[in-house]
Amino acid sequence: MSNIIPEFNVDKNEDRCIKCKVCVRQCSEGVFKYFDEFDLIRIYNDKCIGCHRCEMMCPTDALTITKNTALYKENSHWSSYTINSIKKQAETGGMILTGSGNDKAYVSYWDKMLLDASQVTNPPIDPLREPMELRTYLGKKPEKVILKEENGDISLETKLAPQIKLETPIMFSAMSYGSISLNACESLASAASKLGTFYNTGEGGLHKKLYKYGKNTIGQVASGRFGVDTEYLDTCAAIEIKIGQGAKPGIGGHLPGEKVTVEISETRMIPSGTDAISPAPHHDIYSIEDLKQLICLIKEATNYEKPVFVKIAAVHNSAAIASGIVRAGADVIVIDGFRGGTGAAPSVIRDNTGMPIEIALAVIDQRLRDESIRNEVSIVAAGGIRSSADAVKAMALGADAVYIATAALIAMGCTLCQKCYKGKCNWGLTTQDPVLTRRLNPAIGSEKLTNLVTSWNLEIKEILGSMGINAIEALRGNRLRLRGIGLTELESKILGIEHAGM
Amino acid sequence: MKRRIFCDEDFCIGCRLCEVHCTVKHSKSGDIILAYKFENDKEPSRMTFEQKEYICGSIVCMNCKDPLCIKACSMGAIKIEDGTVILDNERCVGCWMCVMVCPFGAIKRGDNKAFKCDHCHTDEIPVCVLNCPNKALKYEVD
Repeated sequence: MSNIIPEFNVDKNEDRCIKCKVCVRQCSEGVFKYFDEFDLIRIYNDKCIGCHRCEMMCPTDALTITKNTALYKENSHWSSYTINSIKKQAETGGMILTGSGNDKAYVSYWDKMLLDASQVTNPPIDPLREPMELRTYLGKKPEKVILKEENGDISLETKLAPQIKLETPIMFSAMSYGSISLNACESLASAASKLGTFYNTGEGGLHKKLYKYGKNTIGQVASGRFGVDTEYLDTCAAIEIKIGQGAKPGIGGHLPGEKVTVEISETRMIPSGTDAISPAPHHDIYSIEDLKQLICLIKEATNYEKPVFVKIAAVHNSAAIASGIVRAGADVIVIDGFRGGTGAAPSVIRDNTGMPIEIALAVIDQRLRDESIRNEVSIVAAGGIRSSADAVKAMALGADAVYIATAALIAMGCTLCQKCYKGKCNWGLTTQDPVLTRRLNPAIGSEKLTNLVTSWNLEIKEILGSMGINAIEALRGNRLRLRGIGLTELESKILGIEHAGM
Repeated sequence: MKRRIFCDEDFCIGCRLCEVHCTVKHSKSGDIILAYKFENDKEPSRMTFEQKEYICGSIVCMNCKDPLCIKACSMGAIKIEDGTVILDNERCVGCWMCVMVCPFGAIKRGDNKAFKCDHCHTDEIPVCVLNCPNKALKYEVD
C-alpha cells in the first residue's frame, strides 16, 4: 500500500460535465476512466501530475485541478514536498527524479535589478518611428580593425574570425531529439529560420527531416558524441561543445532504451533500444589543454569556417574556467545558470547545485575584461530567462545573446508540471509516444515561438528606446544602465552594479 | 465551387471535440450544456471518428463531384446547393440507400431519417475546423 497523499485534487463540476470524455482521452496518466455500464467518469486523484491538460481541453470548463491543501499538517521546516519525498524514497529506495528547472525559492537577481531610462538630458527614442538595431554577431572579434583603400573602395584588411549572424539576440537553447519530440524540434527549427536566429540540437544529432534548417542550427557535441559525423558538422552553422548543463552540473545524461526508437537510434547513430548514456565528463577532456584539442579538432574538421561554442554550467569557479576556455580558442562561451531546465535530473542535484546566471555572467564578463580578452569571445547567457526584461538585463550585465528553452517550451504548451522524465508529456513535448507526439502540430508550435520572440523583440526595442539607445550593441556590458534594488553591498559589488540612488 | 473538410491524421489527437462542437451546432439551443444535458432530441454528431492504434481521424461528407447518394435517393431529398451536398430532412423517408452507397460512410442513420454533414455552409468556417485544437481538420474551398 502506498502511503503518499495525492498532491492534487481533481474537481469535476457535475452541473457542467457533459460526459464528452475528452478528459478520459487526453490524460496520459490515466486519471480518468469511463465506465460504460454506469455512465460514470471515475477520477483517480493520486495519478494526477498537475499538468492541466484536461482542464484546458474540457469544453465546458467543468474541471479544476487544485493543490491538495489537506496535504499534511503545516510545518515550515518539514514541507509537504519533503515529507512526500522521504516517503517515496522509503518505498522505492531510489533517487527522486525531476524535470525542468530549479523551482526552489532562491533569490532571483533579475527581480532585484532595475533599468535606467532617459529624461531631459538624454532624449529617449521612439522605436516605432526610428530604426532600432537588434542584429547581433557571435564570434571572436578582432583587437583592431584595419581598413584598406583601393581606387576609392574601402575594404577590410583584418581577417575576421567566423561569425554567426542573429537578427535578434535570442536563441533557442539545446534540447535534444529524444528528450523532446521531433515535432517540437521541428517547431524550434522552423521558428529559428523564420526569425533569423538559431536553435540547438542538444546532443541528439540532427534528424534528416531537419537538415533543411541547417543554416539556423547549432550542432552540439557532448560527452556521448551522439549523431556527430562530417555531414552533421558540415550542415550546422556553428558547433557547441557541451561540458555541463545548468540544471545538473557535473551530471551526465541517460535516455532509457525504451525511448530510443528506430528514428532516434538512426539520428543518434546508436543501436535502437539501447540506453543512450552521456557520461558526466567528456572522457577525453580532463583539462583546458584537452578542451583545446577538441576545439582545434572541430575547427580543423569544419575548415575554420564555423564558430565553436563551449557551454558550461554556472559553478563557483566559472570565471577562471571561462578564462581558460577563451585561451583554449573557443569563439563563444555559453553559461547556463541553475534555473536552466532539464529532461531528467536527480532532484537533489537540480535543487542544490550551481549558481544564479546573473552572478556567473557578471563575474565572467568582469574577469575577461580584467584579463583584456573579452573581445576574443562572445558570451551567451542561458538558464531561466523568463522575459524580454531578463534578456535586456543579461545583455547589460555583459551577455552578447541569450538562450531560451523553458520559455520556448511554455510557448508550445508546457505548464511546468516537471514530469518530463516520465516520457508521457501530455502536450507532446517531452515524449516519443506516437499517441502523444502528434499533439504538437509543428505549424502551431512554430507560429507560437515566432510570436513569442517577435513580441520580445518589440519589447526590447521599446526598452532600448526608453534608454535613448538605438542599437543593442550600445547596451552590451553597459552596467551603468542597471541599478540594484534591495541588494547588499557585497551583492552589488559582485554584480558590478550600483544600488538605486547611487 | 466545392467545399471540403479533411483530416490530417498526423495531427489528429483523438480528443473528439469536433463531434462535441458539431452536436452543439446542430442542436436547438446552440448551447453546449443545454444541448447535452437537457435536449433529449439532440442529434448525434455528423462526424465519423475512426481510430486504429495511434492513428485516428474524423471523416465527414467529402462533397463528391458526382455524388452516389444523389443517384441512390429515390425521393430526390439530396441535392447540391452552393457546392455542398445537402440532405433535405423533410423529404427523407429513411430508406437508407444513401447510407449504403456513400463510399466514406459519411451519412448516418437517425431515428427514422438520414442525416449528414452540411459543412456549416451558412458559416465561413465549419465549427469542427474552427474548434480543432491541433488544426488537424482543414477546410478548403475551390
